[in-house]
Amino acid sequence: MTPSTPEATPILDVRGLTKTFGGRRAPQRAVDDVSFSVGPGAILGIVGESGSGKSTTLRCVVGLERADAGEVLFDGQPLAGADRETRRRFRRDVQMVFQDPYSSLNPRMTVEAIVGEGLDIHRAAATKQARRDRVVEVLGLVGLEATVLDRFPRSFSGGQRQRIAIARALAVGPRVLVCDEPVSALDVSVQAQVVNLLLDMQQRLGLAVVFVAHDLALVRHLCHDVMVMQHGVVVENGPCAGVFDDPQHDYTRSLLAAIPIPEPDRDRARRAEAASARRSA
Amino acid sequence: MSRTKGLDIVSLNTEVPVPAPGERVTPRPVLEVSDLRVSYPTVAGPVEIVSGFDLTVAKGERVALVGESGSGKSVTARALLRLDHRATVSGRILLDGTDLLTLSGAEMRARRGRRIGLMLQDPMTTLNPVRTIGSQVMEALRVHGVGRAEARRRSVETLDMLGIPDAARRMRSYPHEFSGGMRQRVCLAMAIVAHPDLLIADEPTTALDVRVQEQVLSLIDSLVDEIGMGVVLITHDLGLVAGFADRVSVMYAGRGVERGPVRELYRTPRHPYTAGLLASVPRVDRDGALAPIAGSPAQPASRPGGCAFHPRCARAESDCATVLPEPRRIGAADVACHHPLTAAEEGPR
Repeated sequence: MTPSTPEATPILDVRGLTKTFGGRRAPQRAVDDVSFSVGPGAILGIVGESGSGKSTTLRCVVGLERADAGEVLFDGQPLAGADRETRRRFRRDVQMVFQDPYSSLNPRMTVEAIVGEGLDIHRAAATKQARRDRVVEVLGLVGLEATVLDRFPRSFSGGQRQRIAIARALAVGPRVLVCDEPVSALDVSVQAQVVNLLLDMQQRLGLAVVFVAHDLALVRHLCHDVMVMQHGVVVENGPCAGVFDDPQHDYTRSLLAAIPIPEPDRDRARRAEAASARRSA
Repeated sequence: MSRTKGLDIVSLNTEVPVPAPGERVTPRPVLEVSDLRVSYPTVAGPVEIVSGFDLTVAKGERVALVGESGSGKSVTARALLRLDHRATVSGRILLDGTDLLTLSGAEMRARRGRRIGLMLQDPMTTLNPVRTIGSQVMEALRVHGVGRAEARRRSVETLDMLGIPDAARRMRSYPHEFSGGMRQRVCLAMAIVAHPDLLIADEPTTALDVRVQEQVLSLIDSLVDEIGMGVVLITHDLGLVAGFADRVSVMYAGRGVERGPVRELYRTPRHPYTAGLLASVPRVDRDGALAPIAGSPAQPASRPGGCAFHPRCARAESDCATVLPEPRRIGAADVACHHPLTAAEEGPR
């Protein structure tokens, strides 16, 4: 799929983000001076292994964690010290999809309540009917029928739950979608459905997307740009085509070399090469 | 094969011929499963999770069992070891010619760990957090009557072989002191320390980062060569096993839908489900759209009649909804489909 070309002015501009966990005795720098920007309609992938700081970066950006240093500019305006209205607009315009659709949906709320909650919080629906219409509309966008409104999360499969989570994020009409490993809990055949849905939404609604994943192959299929993190530091970033076809950093190379290829003979050769590289390392 | 206690890897190595890479190995099967059926009681009556599954594994052979959530692959793994007392298991499970389903509890215990090793997905829950690594690896030998000193020696040797640095000292460590990859090595050590004839690895790398995944697969790979065991590797990701498996068996809704040699299965998948799984694997070496399979995997309690895959299948016709397709031989593969793909339709990937 050919991704649409991102525009120049960043919608999200992150500068010098730093986050340290733990006390004074054993500080762990989870995110160390991370900077990146995302243009309107662009898709940025953040990849790295567990502990690389990719999820923490995301959580700092959306405000689920408080960063120790650095700033986030939204539409060119710094969020720190911004007025209530700007921060409110940020929380509406930037929506998140979490990794595990089994724990990110309240089991005691109906689909209508889950997807419509954001509309209430942001007073985006004037009447009950307008609210229901909007919920049905976004459910339609993600391929779910209006008949699911009164059902509870337990009656849905993992892939359907993730569709509901995406509908919830889209309901308030965001400009940025922030996804933390949104498909890693799903079966392979369903992963591809959700990735294609995200791409479709991005193109139809002109969303900017930040996509955190440990699966580099998925990132190649979805993202325009990629940022590779290791130990809280960005080791390589750039357009996907460049990073995947001509990786500059050893860490990126070793990540790429470890990814299986679904062709027996080529994968055998790749594995033999990876094994000999490990032995000589 | 007769074995003496304390037989080490080196001496074993000499008696097991190591097949050249890619060579088709066809020695006698270590495992022959036929018409395996497993059902579990529910409030709504028994539900059949595995509905007539066949599997053969030869010595030194790597077989991948591929299926999505709800396909019955993990239930199969547990049934092979008769781990679930609630499960009703029928069919035949021949391990070196002996039907495991006819054995007493004690006879079965004598084989678990000793003849069949099991490695599970999640090292966080497989390992006991309040016992040392050493005691847990040694247990796999101690329950089979190996003396303490001997069990310790072999445990250290196995951990060392699996690349745990300073193994003798790390025997005293607890699971929380290990990283995820190291914990999974410990689980592998527990499964193979008694040199089983067969290793069943259920999603052994799913919780791991790609580089660690690669290392764990390589370790299993080299163990096959070194101790000559057969391996059943269970995964939901057909992309993972192309360079690992000798043969692949694809499972859907409790039945085998396609099985065959790895090259044929990837080059010319015959069952639309196999082809769909392959097309939905994202590839890092090329661009292009992902082609997902429509719908969701069938759930055990509400499996469609006929071919269970028919509601998701683009090739389905009226007979698919009513008549259960029996496996038949096409080329080198066994395929259970009324309207299989021909080689020309699929084309080279």
